[in-house]
Parts: sequence; structure tokens; C-alpha cells
Amino acid sequence: MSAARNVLYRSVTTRKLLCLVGLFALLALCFYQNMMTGASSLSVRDLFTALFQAAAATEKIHIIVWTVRLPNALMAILAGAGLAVAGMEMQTILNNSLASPYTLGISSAASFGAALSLVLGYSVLSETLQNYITPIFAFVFALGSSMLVYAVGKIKKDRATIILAGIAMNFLFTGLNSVFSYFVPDETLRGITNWSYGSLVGATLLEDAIVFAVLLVCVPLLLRESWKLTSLSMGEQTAKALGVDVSKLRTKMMILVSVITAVSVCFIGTIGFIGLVAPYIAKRIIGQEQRFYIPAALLVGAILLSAASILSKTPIFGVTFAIALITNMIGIPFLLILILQNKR
Amino acid sequence: MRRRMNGLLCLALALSVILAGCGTPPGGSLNTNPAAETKTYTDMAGRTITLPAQIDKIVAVRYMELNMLAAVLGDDFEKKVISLGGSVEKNDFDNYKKFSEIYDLNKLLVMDGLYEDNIDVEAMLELFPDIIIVDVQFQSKACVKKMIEMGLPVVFTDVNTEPFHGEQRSMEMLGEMLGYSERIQAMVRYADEKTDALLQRIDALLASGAKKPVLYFECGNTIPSKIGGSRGDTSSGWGLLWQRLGADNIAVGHGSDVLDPEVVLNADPDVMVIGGSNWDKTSNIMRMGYFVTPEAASAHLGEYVTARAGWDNLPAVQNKKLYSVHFNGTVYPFSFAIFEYMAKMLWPEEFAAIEPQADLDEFFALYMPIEFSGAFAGQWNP
Amino acid sequence: MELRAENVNYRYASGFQITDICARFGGKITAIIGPNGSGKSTLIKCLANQVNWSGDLYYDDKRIRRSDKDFYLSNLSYLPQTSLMGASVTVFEAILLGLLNELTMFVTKAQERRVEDVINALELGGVAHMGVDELSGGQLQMALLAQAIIKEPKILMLDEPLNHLDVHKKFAFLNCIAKLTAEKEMVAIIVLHDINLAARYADSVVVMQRGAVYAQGKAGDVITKDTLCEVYAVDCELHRSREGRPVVEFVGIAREMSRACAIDYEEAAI
Repeated sequence: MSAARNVLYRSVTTRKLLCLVGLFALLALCFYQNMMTGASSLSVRDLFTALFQAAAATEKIHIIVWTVRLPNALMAILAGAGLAVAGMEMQTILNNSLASPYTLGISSAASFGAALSLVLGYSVLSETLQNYITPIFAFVFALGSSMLVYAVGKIKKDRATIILAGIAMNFLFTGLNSVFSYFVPDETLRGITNWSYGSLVGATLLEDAIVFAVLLVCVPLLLRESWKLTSLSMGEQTAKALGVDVSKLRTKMMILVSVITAVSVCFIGTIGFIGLVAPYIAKRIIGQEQRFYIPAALLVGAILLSAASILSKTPIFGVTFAIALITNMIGIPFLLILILQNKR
Repeated sequence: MRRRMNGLLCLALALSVILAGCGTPPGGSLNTNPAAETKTYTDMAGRTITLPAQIDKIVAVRYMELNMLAAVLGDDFEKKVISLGGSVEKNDFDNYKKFSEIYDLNKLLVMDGLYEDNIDVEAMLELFPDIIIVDVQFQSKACVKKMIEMGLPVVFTDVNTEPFHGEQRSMEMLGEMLGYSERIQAMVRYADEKTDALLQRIDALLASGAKKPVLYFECGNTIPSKIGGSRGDTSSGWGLLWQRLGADNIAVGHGSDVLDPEVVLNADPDVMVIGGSNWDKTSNIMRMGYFVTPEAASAHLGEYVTARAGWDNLPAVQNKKLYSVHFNGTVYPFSFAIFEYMAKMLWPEEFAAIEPQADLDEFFALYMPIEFSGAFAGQWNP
Repeated sequence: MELRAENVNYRYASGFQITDICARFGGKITAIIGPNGSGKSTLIKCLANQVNWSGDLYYDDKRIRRSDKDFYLSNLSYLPQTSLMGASVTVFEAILLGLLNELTMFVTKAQERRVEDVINALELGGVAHMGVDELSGGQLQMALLAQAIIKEPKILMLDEPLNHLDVHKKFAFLNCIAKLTAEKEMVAIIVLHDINLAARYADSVVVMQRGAVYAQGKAGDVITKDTLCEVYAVDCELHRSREGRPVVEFVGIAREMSRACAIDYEEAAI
């Protein structure tokens, strides 16, 4: 009887691994399709030549593949994965399936940082620095906001405080953004709004590399705490009873989540709903045990944003929709379903 | 554990460097015809740019460049301009109607998305333009940066930083690049002379201690009973223009706010100006442009007098110094005339001898591909 | 194998506190009983090091410090009062979490086997791979017990574990605890509301009242008519079971209450 049970758990683990493999295959497919979608026509052979025999490709194809499509497709994967895993951990540490990576006020803070950079203008700085001022400002303010929330959380250590502090941050920075609109010319204002909306258009390979590097460092740190996080999803009481230092875990997670989210949005703006929807889907597919939940969330997030990117490049009934609009269109009904279904 | 972390960090950094170095596009701009002759220029953002010596495919990303390009290219406009960004018909039907008399504007490709920052850069690449004209205020847009990164021939004009000469300098640069230098030189000189003469006299006036006229300027993009925004930012745009021309603008310090009617009444403005354009086709807004008559402008200004409480007691109204002016006037090649109109509004005695309408007629006859029509400034004449 | 607590003090922000508790938890099973709000949960939370308490704890006469995390992690399991569980973790995974201290990214065959054994011992085979949020109250309680005992703790602390169980399951649960404490080197401390169950299963009983120990000792000695009247303000008749343990037959709310009791309970018309 014992041996038979053993087989059953093994098969559960195997099934989960197969799911991950399947998700990875789906991601590869999305990546491929993303690389093949765009205004210019590109044959499969063109694509592979450009990627692997760079010298042989024509200049035009090389530019399309390396300057336009590849950075875009990679950013979709990386930012999608980052937002998904950040959202998933926010949901875990706040024990709330409606939490998202922006719960700590990061989205409005990042928008404010970007707005500030646009308003201050860059006439004094060199051109190379100019390109990175906006992301740097966005990153700094995003991180700053979550550190403020963390500090508040230290004073009164419970989940409700963290959530409320995050809401307060959102209001603060949204308010500051509105104040800005009085002092800036319309052009800049539009720039600010567009940045918040989010877009993958400007992604470069260097930006991809930075996001990748951050994920490469942070995700293993998340995986290290897999079991503690799984215990936390059973409730703060249970986790504490099992000997987990819950507030220390929360702190560590908040820092990691903030860094991941901040770097994901500082280059592309605040694209919504990925961090809310991807964890839900991943949980449905693979369960809440974090050794598998984390990779699943990464993959699902990457797939979702890649798919949204493909859709944003494909005319639907003759109209091309911005990527942020697509994530919103999928996300809002999703959110409604989630709210209606929510047991907690 | 610490060493493993450091190891990972090094790996991450190494990977980033490798990836970053990987995809560098070929240096310089995309060369569609390697054998063709090229020339190097400096654009108005200070960038060095290499363009074909012979430019036959022109793209601008903003519909407002229509007037500037028409002035530079003349009859060659139709065969050389591929796209003006957004749809001219949708965004500026006054100009659309006027220039449709000589060009078939429907042939232009619509490449939308400048303001929303999502121009389809791949489609732009497909067009293989010889030059892409972008005003420097859009330098920070992601799609513009991406086009530069792709090696596309982006050239920056700068119309707004120095609004009295920006249009002229931009046209000079384009004239040189597109091969119409001689023609443009003459046009630009005409405009510069008029503008500089104007500014010199204004400076002399102010130096002699003349009292600045109190001015109220409002954007007329809504019906007369509603109050439009004013312009008080003296670092750019209308705020800068009015200040330079010696007005005492009551909106200074209020940005682009709608001014409280009481503030206006208390200020007792000597001169009031409503900015007009064609923001849409049918509303009862202040209109200026190629198809507006002075009578229509005057009638509309009269509606302001009726609709606004207390205005009939203001010096500006009592002295019939209520005017209108084209809100986008400064991006036109004939902006000097707009400045002349404005100077006359502020300093009627000093500039009594100047005839902006006559100058406009002369300028259009000499340099513009279209005949002059309509009104770009108006006055209330009850 | 005796657990001894001395001078346990803890104060909530709201003002409620337990003061100077001294208690011995010898014998296999100790029940903590007492009225609502008497400090039972608080006491067990302190003993399980779940809050910032002050006092001394001795196990086998060795002083256990609050900072001695290893001792707690290896030897003590605490089962808090259960509320609804919304997690979709499976029962198997939940039980595996009982080994949290020693888990790594790879679950070994040995660890899997231990989970199997506990599942069998507590008869959870049928729900082993169901989500914890799909379990009935009784199954959840058993699953959580499995999580608590898998690491074979020397001390098992349970706070009102019978709350959501029907009468059959109450017996099943306590039978299980009795079996565990008999077979292994384990002491169990259980907060209970049901006095008869406490009397039947516990070797020693601690009675709490208003944040202090009212009485403690063998079940037979502690559970008396006077004690129950004084602490709970109820009248009862005491019988003896075949094993000689007290069996309480409750009559009703006490006619005469001491002043102290009256403070706790409203005087009710009988």
C-alpha cells in the first residue's frame, strides 16, 4: 500500500514537471510567433539567417530582427515573467488573491518618477544619459514608494497596514501627478500619460539584459524560500506555528518583489493585469506549492505578455490596439470573475 | 552562499554585456543605395546625420509640417512627400481644404501614433524614406528613439525653442538638405528682416520706458460663453511671444489655466485677444484660417462681448481693442505677419505704418505655392 | 519528560493578561480548561513561543530559552485554533510542510515515506491529493494534526482542536492523540472546552480562571463540584466511570455564585 502511495506522489510531481515543460513549449511558440509578427514581411528563413548567421542577412532584415523585434519579444518575456512572479508573491505574503505587484503603490510612484524626469527635461545631460534618465527616475521612485510602505509596515506589523499604506502611496503619487499637470505644457503631459500606459516599443537589448540580470539574481532568492512561502499560503498562524519568522519573510519578499517590479516597469511603463492574472492561471494549472508555482508563474506571465504583444501588432478588424489596452481588455473581465469567485 | 551570490552576479553582468554588444545595428544611417552620393549635416538637435545628396522620399511625423514643407518644396511636394504622420483631413481640415486646391493630399500615407508614441517603426522601415522630419520636442518619444536606433534618417527641426526664428532656421536647414537652398534663402531673409525690424522697435519702445499694455489672451477653442485657457508660461509658446512683444500679460504665473473672470475684470485689460483655429468642423469656436472672413471673425468676437459679464465696461472693449489671432500662427512660414498683427494690437500708434495684410499678400505671391485667402487675425468691428 | 513553566507572564495591548502562571505538564496528556477569556489560548501560545512572553520554561529540568529556536523547531509542534483554510495546497504538501525545517528544493524518498506513514496512521489516504480548501472540518483537522506530528515532536500543543468536529470525530481525534502519546515519547497539552472529554483523556488538568491558574493536578483531584461551580458557575453531579475517572453530569447554571463568579457571568433567572 505504501509503495502505491509513493507512486502517486511521484506521479503528481511528474505531472507538474510536464506542465512546466508544456508551458515552456507554449512560450517558445509565442516567442517564435512574436518574432514573426510585424509590419514587415519576414520569412522563417530570413529570421533564422538573421539570428544565427548575422553577417549573411541583408541590412534591412538585420535591423528588423535585431533592433525591432528581438528586443521587443525578449522584453515581453522578461517583463511578463517579472510582473507575474512579483504579483504572485504579493498575493502570497498578503494572503490575498486580489493583490498585484502594484499594491505597494509602485505603479503610481514609477509613473511619477517618469513624469518628473520628463518635466525636468534633459538639456543639461549628455545624450547617453538622457536615454536612461526616465527609467532611472521610475525605478528610484518605485523602490522608494515600496520602502516607505515597508517602513510603515515595521511600525505596525500586519497585512492590513501594508495594504492600506500601499493604497495611500497610490493616492499620494497620483495626486502629485495631477499637480504636475498644472505646470507642464500639453506635450509633456501627453508624454507622461503615455508612459504610464505602458509600451514595449522602446525596448533595447541592453534593457533586456538588465531585467534579465535582476531576475537571474532575484528568482533563485525566491526559490530558496519556497517552502516557507508555501506555508505562508496556509495562513499566517500556520506558518508561525511551523516556526517561520513571518515578518522577516514578508520583509525579504517585499524587497525582492519591489526590485523585480520596479525594474520590470521602469523601461516599459506600468502594464496592468499581468501580475494579477498570471498567478491565478498558474495556480489553477500547477497548484500553490511554490517550488512549481514560481516557475509556472514566470512562464505564464511571459506567455501572456508575449501573446498580448503579438495581438498588439496584429490588426483586429483593421485596428491595432496598444498593448496596454489588450492587457486591460483581458484583465478587467478576469478581475470581475475573480471577485465573484473569491472565497476569501 | 555569499560566493555563490557573487558568482551569479558576475554571470549576470557578463551576460548583459554580451547581449548588449550583440545586436548593434550597422553604424550610421540605413543606406538603401550604397553607391549613391551622401552628405553630412548637423540637425537642429545638434546631431550629425548622413543623408543622400538627392532626396526623393520625404516623411514627416506630424501633420503640422504641411505648411513648412509646402513652402520649401512648392510644386515638388506631391511627388516627394510620402507621409505627414497623422491624417491632415482629420486633424486640420482648414489646411487640408486649402492645400487640396493644389495637392492631392489623399495620396499621403497615414502613419499615426506620434502623440501616443506608437508609430509603427517597421512600417516606417518598409517605406525606406530618405529623410524623416521630426520636431525636436518629440525627441524623447520611444518610437523616435527606436527609429534612430534602427538607423533611419531622422532629422530634428526646432520650431518652438526660439519661436521668432525657429520656423525660419528649420526651413533653412531643410532647404539645404532637400536641395532648395536658394529659394528658401530668399524666403527666410524676407521673414527674418520683417521679424527683426519688429523686435528691434519693440526693444527700443520698452527701453524708452513705454507703459506696457495690459493684455488678456484666451484660447478660443470653446463656445464664447465658456472660458478657455490662457497662456502665462513665459518660457515658451504664447506666453513667451506676448512677453517679447512687450505685453503685460495678466496670465503670467498661471500657466495654461482658465483665468477667473473676476481677475480679468479687475485687471482692466487694454487689449484682449482670442486665439482661433479649426479644432473641429462645426462647433461655435473662434475660427481663423484660409476660409475665414474678417466679418465672421468680428461677429464671433461680438458674441464674447455679449456673453461675458462686465466686458462692455473694460477699456479693451470700449476702445474696440478686442482681437483674434491664429492660434498656430507661429509654425507657419509667414509667422512674421502674425507677429506684425500682434505688435499692432499692442502698440497701434508705433506700428501704424505696418500693413501685415499687404506683407502677407506679397509673401504669398513670392514664395507660397498657394494664393492667400482668409484671415489670420481679426478685430471686433461692431 | 516533564514540561514545567514558571512565572509565565503576557499582556495583550487590550489589557488582558495572564500573570505568574506556574504549571507542570507531566503525564502523557494534559488538558487546559477554563471559561472563555480565562487565558487558556494565551497560555498555550506562550508555551509554544508564539508571542513575546516572559517567564521560564523547563524541559526535563533543563532551561529552555526563548531564543533557543532549534529546540522549538525540533521538539515542539503547535496547532493553533483553526479557521477556514483557503489555500489550494494539497494534503500531502501540507503534511510535508510539517518537516519545514529540513526541507530543500528536492523532496527525498525518505521524506515522502514519512508523509505516507502519517497519512496511513491518521487514515487520510482518501484525501491525500485533494486541496486543503476542499476538505471538511474534520478532515482538515486531521490533516493539520498530521502536519504537526510528522516531525515526531516531543511536545505537542493543541489549541481547541475539537472545535469543528462532530462527536464521533472528537473521539477519533483524542483516541489518536492517546495512541501517539502512548506509543512514542510525546507529551500532549490540549486546550479543551469539553470537561468530560478532558476528564476522560487527560492525565493531568490545569484549570484557568481570569488569567491565572485556579487549580492543577490529576483529573480526578481537580474536577470537582466546587471547582466547576466556582470557575464556570454551573451546578453539576459527579459520577465515576469504570476506570475511576470523573464523569460530570451538568445540572444548570448555579443558583448561588460567589461574588467572583457573578462578575464573570450575568445573574440569570432560573
